[in-house]
Amino acid sequence: MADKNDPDIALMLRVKEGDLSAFEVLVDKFKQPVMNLVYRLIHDLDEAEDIAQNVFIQIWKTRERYEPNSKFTTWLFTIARNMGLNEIRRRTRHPADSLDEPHPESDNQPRHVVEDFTSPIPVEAALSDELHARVEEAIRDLPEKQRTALLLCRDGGVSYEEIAEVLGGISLTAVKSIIFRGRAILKARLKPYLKSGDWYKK
Amino acid sequence: MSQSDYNKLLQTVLERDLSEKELSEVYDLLDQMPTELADFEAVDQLLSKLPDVSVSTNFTSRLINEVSSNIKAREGLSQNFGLWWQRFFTSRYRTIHWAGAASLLLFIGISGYQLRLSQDRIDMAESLQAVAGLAEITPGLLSDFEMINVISHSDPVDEELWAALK
Repeated sequence: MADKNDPDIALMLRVKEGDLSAFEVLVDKFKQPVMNLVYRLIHDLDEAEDIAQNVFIQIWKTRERYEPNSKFTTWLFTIARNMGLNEIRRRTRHPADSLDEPHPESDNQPRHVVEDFTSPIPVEAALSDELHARVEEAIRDLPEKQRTALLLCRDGGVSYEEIAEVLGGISLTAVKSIIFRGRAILKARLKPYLKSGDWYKK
Repeated sequence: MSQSDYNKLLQTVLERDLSEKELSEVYDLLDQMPTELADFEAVDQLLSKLPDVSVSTNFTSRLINEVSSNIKAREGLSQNFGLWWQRFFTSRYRTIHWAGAASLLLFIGISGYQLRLSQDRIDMAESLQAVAGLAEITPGLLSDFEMINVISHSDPVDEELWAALK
């Protein structure tokens, strides 16, 4: 049983009663981690935003059924992951819908890019962009469970127990193994960037 | 445990999930290898320094508007239904409403009945077709039917025999 004094649960219990202002606070608090997770699952910014909106709409619609049995974030990220996976399945069935194709008005440029607002000095910014692009690429190539587990660890400070629930009720050992495996694969793929030490300066 | 053990475990982890025992072994080994540990920490730092995905500035307001309009639409719907129901019983034209509703129910009933009749006819036609097909396959069967027919159309009762039996 989760702690009812947990501020997120308290907020969600207010939402359950139909408190729209509490819902607004909840959306403001969690829109970023939900977007980070969904975008890195499907790699399409517009679609990720639509899905993130639907995640919160789903929470509003099902609010009356909410029971504080576990942390609110477990419920939230489970819905976000399931909706992301549904979109991946839909795209697998209809590959023509994929928006990874180049933008029609530019030559081979991806249609969507992740914006980075931290651009202090051009050279450093370029280096940072390059590094981020490599990390994004390495994460994108990870199997879905490893990717989701690592992103949840990174973003929401989600515990291993919660990750186990979000990933469909797997064991704690499996979660630890999935995370270690993901880190090991990233370490292997990003080896040259780890050795340069450039990331230390940022 | 040595570097080769570590390399073996690292190779294993790239191929499959590790068991609890293997995981504790690998963490023990990592503690003895500061450069490897530093690399893992570097990966964690790279992950934590990934920029956030951009979110529209109107994300929350768009969502709240949608939810609000949803609430209003539902309220309006239930209110309209309540008003309509009230008018159905209290309006001065209520007899016309009731007659309309009765006509609608009658129409639905007749349509349903007609549909059922058509379905029965189709079923009967299918059964007849099956029997006709059967007769074509085994003409000998018809003689059995003829025999039954003869029995059912036998001579009138022998009155004398009947009286004797009584």
